Amino acid sequence: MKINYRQLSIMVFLSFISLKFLALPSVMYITSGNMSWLVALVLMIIDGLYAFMLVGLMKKCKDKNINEFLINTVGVVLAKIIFILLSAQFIIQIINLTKGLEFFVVENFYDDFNWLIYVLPLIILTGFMMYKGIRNIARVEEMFCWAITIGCIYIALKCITCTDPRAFLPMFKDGVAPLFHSAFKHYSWFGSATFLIMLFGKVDFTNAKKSVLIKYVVFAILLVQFLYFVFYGLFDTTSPTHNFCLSDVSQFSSNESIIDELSWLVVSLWVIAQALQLAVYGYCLVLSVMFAFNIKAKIPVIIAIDLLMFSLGYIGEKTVNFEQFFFNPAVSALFIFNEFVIPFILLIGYGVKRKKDRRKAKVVEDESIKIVV
Amino acid sequence: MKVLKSLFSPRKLLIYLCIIIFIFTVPQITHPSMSEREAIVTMLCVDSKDDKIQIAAIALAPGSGKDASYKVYLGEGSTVGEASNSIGVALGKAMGYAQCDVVAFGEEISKNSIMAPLDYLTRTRKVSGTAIIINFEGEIDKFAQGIASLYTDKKLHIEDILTYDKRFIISKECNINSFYRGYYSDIAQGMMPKLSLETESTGNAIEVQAGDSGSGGGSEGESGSGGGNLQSSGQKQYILNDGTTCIFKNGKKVYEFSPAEANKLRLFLVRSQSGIITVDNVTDSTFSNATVVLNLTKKDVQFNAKFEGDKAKFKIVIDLDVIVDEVKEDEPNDRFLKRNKEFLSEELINKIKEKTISDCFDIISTCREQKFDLMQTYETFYRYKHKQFKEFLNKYGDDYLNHIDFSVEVKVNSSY
Repeated sequence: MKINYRQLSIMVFLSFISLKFLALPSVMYITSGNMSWLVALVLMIIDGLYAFMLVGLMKKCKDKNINEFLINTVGVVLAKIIFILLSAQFIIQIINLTKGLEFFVVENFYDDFNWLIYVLPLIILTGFMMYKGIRNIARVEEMFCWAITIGCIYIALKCITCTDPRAFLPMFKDGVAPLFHSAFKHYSWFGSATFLIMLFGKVDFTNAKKSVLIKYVVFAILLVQFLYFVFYGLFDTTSPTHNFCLSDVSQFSSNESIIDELSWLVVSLWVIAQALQLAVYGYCLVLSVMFAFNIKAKIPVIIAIDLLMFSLGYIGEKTVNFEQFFFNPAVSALFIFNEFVIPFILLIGYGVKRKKDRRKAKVVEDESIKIVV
Repeated sequence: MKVLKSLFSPRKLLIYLCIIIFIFTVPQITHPSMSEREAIVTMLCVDSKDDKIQIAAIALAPGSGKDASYKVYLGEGSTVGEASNSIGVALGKAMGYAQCDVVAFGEEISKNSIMAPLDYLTRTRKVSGTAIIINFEGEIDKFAQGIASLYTDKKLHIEDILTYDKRFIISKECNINSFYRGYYSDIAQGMMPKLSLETESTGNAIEVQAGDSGSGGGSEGESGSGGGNLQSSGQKQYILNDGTTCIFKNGKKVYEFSPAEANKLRLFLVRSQSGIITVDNVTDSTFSNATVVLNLTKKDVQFNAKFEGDKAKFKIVIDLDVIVDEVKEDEPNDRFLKRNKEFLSEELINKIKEKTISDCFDIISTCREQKFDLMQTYETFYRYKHKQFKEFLNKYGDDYLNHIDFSVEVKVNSSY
């Protein structure tokens, strides 16, 4: 079952905005100050270019899945290595999403809330969605996409009058070095288009308009920038103390009007977007693990991933400092490798393969001409 | 594999999901309600006495409709947390601060520093950043009893008191978020309105029933006339909100603007839009030696910072939209025949400008003396002339305001 080009674009859109509205703007401010928006903009543009490149390659090899594509172009060994690296990235993205969501729901939504009540249904839900496949996830994302988007815009617009644009001045007061440092340090919050690698052969490009993806990517970048503009404009130097971007913005000018009560509904909708993104990364992880270790059965891998999510939340909570983990240079290096090096390997592999195919075709053509002569 | 497949088929997963939700939600339903387990604090007063922190928590006692009342719980300890726990232990309930929308700091703690209690409340107890913060004068228990009586008997909340009178619109802006923003800026200053408990009725004070002082951790008093375990003496006292505004620097109260000064201060505050301007001795084609009260319907303030050589120049442009509100004149004249717009003669406009400029310079000279910056001078120079201002600061340090040339331009327009 394939997804269409519009559904793919919506998946890219939601992937671009998920993870950006939790703790990211707050933690970025610590290193890059009032220029954090620029760091986010540059990294999102890189993600966007990566998405266009992958979709371009996908179009060229419509009927091959990524496993077949890699084995044909770069060979089995390199293919396995790439799948292991991708699996590592998906695991980190799942941890980041799960921990962010957990922190958000358990700490922010409720005063006193049992962690298990939130995490167990979430694990079962994502497991179910992983099992049902990408078409199912894409259709649910299609259903919620506009509600989530309108909600985010509503929250930002609600506070726009309190936003102080002077918070972005002076620009580059400490030079550009902190921006590079921040970009490297927070790379694990980006890499939002990597999941597209796993969708090779799963997209139907019939009647696909190229501009659709461009529109969604540009819209995602603008939406994130708009919310960051409001967030930094509202909180300025106190931004590091506001760990829940979307909910903190929504509560900035809270009053008792009925429309204001909608804020929490909107924030809850956005939690759905996070859960859907979790299912996307989970699905990609299932595929990459299956390809990396030649596993044919899907269900044991899904159960293993669900157990991993559970144990990371339960055991990892006490033993691993996740905040430090995401800032680890090795994690950033992995994301950068996957986003900068793997595409080149894919492109070079595809180029070499195409050349070989052409040569073969030419030889066959020459031989057939000789036979005719 | 077949067993696994049958155990984890999609339909079975949905059934498991329902079972889990059932297991976890049913016990939650049978749990006592949150108001049974927690005291829902809607306002917290904090002060210190003899190195001890005193808190008075005004908590909602649930009831249906008009029966809902507010109770005051008093606690004491070496920290706010300890004082809060002492109330919790005495009551057998946890103190829930999530609904707390007003935090009041007493005189004593304001002089020492309010940052530690504020940090505890926002970081640990999750008091919302939109909660209003105020300064109060008077004994903490009596003040809290008075406020609780206000809430219960008059159904009047602090937010209403502070924002009702448009002259005191600055109060609306003073929530924890805006205070923190000022505190974490380079000049580390913030302001908050002040309410005081008076024994005699003055001006716009509101009558309340203030209780006798309670003692020890977790003592309880109920305000109003509802009966029960009362400590309230029913003694009449008055909550006064006259616009007095306190200035904090590095978390400590350093100055207090009188109501008249606070009214002048309003001119510099971007968000303060409304108010009243009174101009004396107006004589023109309409008025003769009259006192004219003008209603300020809209105000726009712009700040312009520049360097001319070594000289730092700061220009404040104030755009006022006014209408003539009331006129006090010895002899009545035929002004009723005129349209409001015609009242704004050149002479009156000049008088308004003179008064506004003089008010502005009064505040500037106070700021220069007291070394705090309420005209956004630092911020404007820092944002727009960063490098030059850095050098300027290196040269003059804290005394930078005395080396800046201020100028004020006032534009007056008619609201009609």
